[in-house]
Amino acid sequence: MIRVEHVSKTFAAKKTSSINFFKKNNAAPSNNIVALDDVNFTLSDGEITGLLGLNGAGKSTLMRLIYGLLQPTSGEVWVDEHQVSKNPNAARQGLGVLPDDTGLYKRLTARENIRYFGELQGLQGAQLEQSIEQLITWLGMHNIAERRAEGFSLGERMKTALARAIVHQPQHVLLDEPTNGLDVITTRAVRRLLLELKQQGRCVIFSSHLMHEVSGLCDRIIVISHGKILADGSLEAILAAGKAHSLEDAFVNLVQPQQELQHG
Amino acid sequence: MGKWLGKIAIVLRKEWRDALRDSKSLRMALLMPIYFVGVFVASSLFIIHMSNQSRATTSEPIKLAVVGADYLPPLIDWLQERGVQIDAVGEDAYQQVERGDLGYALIIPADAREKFATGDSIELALVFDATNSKLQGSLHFVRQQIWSWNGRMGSLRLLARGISPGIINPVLIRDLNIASDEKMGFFVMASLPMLLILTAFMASVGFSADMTAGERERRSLESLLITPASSAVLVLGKWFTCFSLTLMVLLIEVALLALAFAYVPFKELGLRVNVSPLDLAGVYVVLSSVALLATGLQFVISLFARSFKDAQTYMGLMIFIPMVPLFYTLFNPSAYADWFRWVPVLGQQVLIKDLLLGGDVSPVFFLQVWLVAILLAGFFLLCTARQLRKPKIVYGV
Repeated sequence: MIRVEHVSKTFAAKKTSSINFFKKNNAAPSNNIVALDDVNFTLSDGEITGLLGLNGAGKSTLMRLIYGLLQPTSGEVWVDEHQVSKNPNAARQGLGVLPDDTGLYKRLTARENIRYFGELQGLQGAQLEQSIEQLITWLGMHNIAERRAEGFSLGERMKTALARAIVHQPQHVLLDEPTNGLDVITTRAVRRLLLELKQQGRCVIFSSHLMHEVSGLCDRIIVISHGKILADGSLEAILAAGKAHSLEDAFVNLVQPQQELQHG
Repeated sequence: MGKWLGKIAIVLRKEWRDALRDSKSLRMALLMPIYFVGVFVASSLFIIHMSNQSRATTSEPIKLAVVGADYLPPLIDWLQERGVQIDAVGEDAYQQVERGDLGYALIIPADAREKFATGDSIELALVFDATNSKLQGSLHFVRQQIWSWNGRMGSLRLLARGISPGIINPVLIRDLNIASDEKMGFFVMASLPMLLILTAFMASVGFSADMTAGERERRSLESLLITPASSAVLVLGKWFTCFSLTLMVLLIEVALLALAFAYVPFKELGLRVNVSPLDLAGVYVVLSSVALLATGLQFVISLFARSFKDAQTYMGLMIFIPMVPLFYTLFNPSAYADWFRWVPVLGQQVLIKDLLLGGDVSPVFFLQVWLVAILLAGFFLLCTARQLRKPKIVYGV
């Protein structure tokens, strides 16, 4: 279970020029960028949740707050009974995270990459090897397992990173655009894996831009725009809220007024 | 505690494997001792060669072609006493020098004997080609001998008239030239601590940049920081890899140096190079303390660098930190104060110099440099560990 309680996050805007320095400071607060604004939800185990939003909607920031590398400006994040700001390492133990655009250790083989993270998570011996072998089988990585990551294709990199993220069989799995740029076969492998994780009663949340993937996989969909949750619920609930028959139309209907509000 | 060490061992094992496969950085690191010891040996050999050559020219008798040697026998006797070989030549000595058949010649006028007897000044002519720099040494010697005979004769004449010779010499200059071969040898030896300390500073620069700035650039840092491994474990594991790599490189350098000391004829430099294996072990212990603080410093610097390239630029500038005291003492070899021993790098340099050149060495000196190094390295690593998971480091925001 992941609980996000009234979380807001603002970033101080970077000064565009040194001239700002001489101006009076009363204009400063409005310069801050609000990445998340009072976001509130609870994710239950045994469910796949899809996080939908345009670029810059705050998806990655939300993920980073959950795994504790960013601190919320206000509000609190809980992973099971661990408060992320108070006990980040305990919370991270229960998390498996695939950040967006993650890199591998190029001079290590795929298997060594996965093993290193397994060891850092506290696994060892037969249990670790078994877990690695299982992931390699699930993701169809036998042909690359003993190859160094230097020169891996995007799909091979993604599969290795995914295996690395969940080698310790975490209760909660966070994936930032896991199928971004993958071919059909690899996408299917990832999808199978997500369903398998759900079967095992794990809590899965992933962000995506692919509507068919979200509608096909997710039990619950959260639509986020400009740091605010616009809709939260099952596919049917989102379709109703967006007054449309397809997720794509519903999403656009939900997000567009917000966009106009921001830019108009 | 055991679990903690286990985690550090995991990071250490991974980083070592990574480093050993990083053939480019590894080559750079391993070439350094070979290069530095090579430069040291080459410059020593060069100086030995030079000093041998200058000795060869001084041991050979200086030849002097003289026109009219018979006119002034006392001077000729004096020159011969001083080891100058006198060759009598014909009247055309001037032309011979002009043609290059003779290097230089001394022409004694025919009225010399008469003038010498009456106590008048004799005009001697020394013919030479000033552009021929090879002759400067012998020419200088000949001229000096003539002057000293001149002074001696003058003094004798004054004495004969009951006047003290001191009256015509209000001052006397005594040349005390210290720029001997020995001195050059000393410079070579004094540069050695600098080479060694530079190695300690630079050996793992590529690796520590790769482990921090490089890891962020490859975008693997975020994933690493999402694991429950504590920042201290990650930093210590990575740092210890760099530290042990530096120790390895230094060991190679000290071993090569031991070989150099065994086979390069330093004695010909007139240097007391009697560096025992124990002295070299002492040097290694001192260098380890340099490595300790240098690798710590590398981590702080490369953590705050935006990219791998940035990190390498900063580290290039970092090299100047040890250079400042090193250069100062290189050009002021006699500068010393007790507080030097408490200054990082400078303290180590003083100690290494004493070990190599046979100064006073006490165990307390080792403790001093190690204490300073441990405190500094601890501070650097604490800074790094504290900052590692800050958003500014991970995301640059």
